[in-house]
Amino acid sequence: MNFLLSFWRSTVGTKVVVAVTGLFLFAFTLFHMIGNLQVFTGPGDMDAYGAFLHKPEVLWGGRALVSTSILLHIVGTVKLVKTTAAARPQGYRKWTAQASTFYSRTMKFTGPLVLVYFVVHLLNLTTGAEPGHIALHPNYLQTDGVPKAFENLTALLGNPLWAAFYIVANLALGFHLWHGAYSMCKTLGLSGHRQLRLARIIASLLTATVVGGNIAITTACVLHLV
Amino acid sequence: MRLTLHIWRQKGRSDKGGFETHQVDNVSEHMSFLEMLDVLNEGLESQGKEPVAFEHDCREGICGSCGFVINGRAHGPMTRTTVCQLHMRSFKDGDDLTLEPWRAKAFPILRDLIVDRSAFDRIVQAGGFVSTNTGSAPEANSVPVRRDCADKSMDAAACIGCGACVAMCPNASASLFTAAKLAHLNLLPQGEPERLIRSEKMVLQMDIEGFGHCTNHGDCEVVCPKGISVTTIAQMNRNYVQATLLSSPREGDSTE
Repeated sequence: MNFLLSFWRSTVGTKVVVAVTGLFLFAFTLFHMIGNLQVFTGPGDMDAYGAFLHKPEVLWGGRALVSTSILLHIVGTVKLVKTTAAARPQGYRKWTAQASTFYSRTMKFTGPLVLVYFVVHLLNLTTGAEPGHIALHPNYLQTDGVPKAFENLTALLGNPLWAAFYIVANLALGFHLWHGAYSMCKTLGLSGHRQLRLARIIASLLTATVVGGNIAITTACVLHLV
Repeated sequence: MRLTLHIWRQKGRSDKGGFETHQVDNVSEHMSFLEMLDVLNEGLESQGKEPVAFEHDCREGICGSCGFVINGRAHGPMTRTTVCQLHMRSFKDGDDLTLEPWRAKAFPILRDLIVDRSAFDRIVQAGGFVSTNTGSAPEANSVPVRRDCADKSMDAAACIGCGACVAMCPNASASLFTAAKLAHLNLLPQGEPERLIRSEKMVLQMDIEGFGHCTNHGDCEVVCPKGISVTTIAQMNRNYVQATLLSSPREGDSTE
C-alpha cells in the first residue's frame, strides 16, 4: 500500500486520480444524457428506464461508483489547488494568457458550480423518492420508492426558472468537460501530435453532445413539446 | 525611441520590493533588450543610483541566464527568443513596459529581476544523468539509436533551463522543464536502464521544491525560447505511472 500512498502524494499521481475519476464521470454524464433522451419517446419508455435504474443492485452500485469518483475527484483537486496556490505567493502585475483559455483557467470555479448543479439536481428529482420525501420540486410523484420519471422531469423543467437554471448549469458543465476531457488525455500520457488533435476533436464533440442533449431536453420541456 | 519602464525593484530575498518607473531616451532599434537596460543602468549610475540587477551571461540565447516577464509575457513578445536576443525593433516609440522577475515560491527573488533557479539544478541532480563507466569514447554507432527517438531527444535537450515555463504557467509548475530533462535521456538507449527510477525521482524533487501542478494550459510551450513541446509532459506522466504503479519493486527501494 506504500506505493499507492506515495503515488497519491505526488502531484502527477494526484492528477492521474483526478483524470481517471474525471473520465468515469464524463462517461456517466454522457450515458445519463442518452438515457434521458427517452423523454422524447414518451412516458412509457422513460418510466420503464427509471424503474430499471431503481433496481437495488443498479441503484446502489451506480451510487457507490459515482459518489466514490466524485469524492476522489474533489479531494484530489482540492489538494492540487492548495499546492498550486502556495507555488506563487505573489502574482504578476501584468500577465497575458498565451495558450490557456477562459475555460481552462476556470476549472476550479466551474467544478464547484457543477457540484452545486449535481446537489440541486439530486434534490429536484432523486431525494423525493427516498424515505422522508424531501424534494425541491413543484409536485413530486412516486410509487413505492420508484419515481414517475417522465412526469417529474417535465413538471420541473416546464417551469421557466428551473429550465433557465438547468441551461446555465449545463454551460458550466460544458466548460468543465471541454477542458477536462482534453486535459485528462494528456495527463494519462497521450503524447502524439496526431493523437492529441484527434483527442481535442473527440473531446469537443462529446462535450457538445452532452451539453446539447441536456439543453435540448430542457428546451423541449419548457416549451411543452413533450 | 523613448520608453517608459516600470521595473520591479527588490534589494534582497527578504525585502518587500515594489515597482519603480524610469524613462529611457535615445533607444536604438538595433539594441538588444539587455543593451537597452545597460543604457538605463549607465544613466542610473551617473546619477548615483543603484543600477537595475538582471542576470545575463552569453547574450546569445543559449545559456539560459537571462529572462524576465515583459508586459505579461516571459522573455517578451518574440516567439522562441530569450530576452538577450530580443531587439528593440520589437517595440515602438512611447511604449510603456512592465518588467517583472519570474514569480514562483521555488524561485526566490535575489535582487530586482534576478531569481534563484537552483531548484532546477536539484531536479536535475535527482536523476537527470546516465550512470556509465568512464573511459575512452565508445565507437560511434555502436549503440543504434532510432532516428525519431534521436530527433525527439535532441528537441528536448534544447532546454536551457531559463525558467520561462514556470514563470508563465498559471500554476507555477515546472512540468515542462522536468519533462524536457526526462525526455532528453529517457528516449535514448543510454538513458533507458534508469528511465523509471529517473522519472520517479525527478518528479518527486519537482514536488519537493514547491512548484505547482500541470493543468495542461499550454502557456509554457508558447513562451519556451527553445520550443519544447508539452507532449513531453504526457511522456513524463506515462513514465511516472509506469515507475510507481506498474513496475515491480526495485532493489534498494526499501532502504531509500
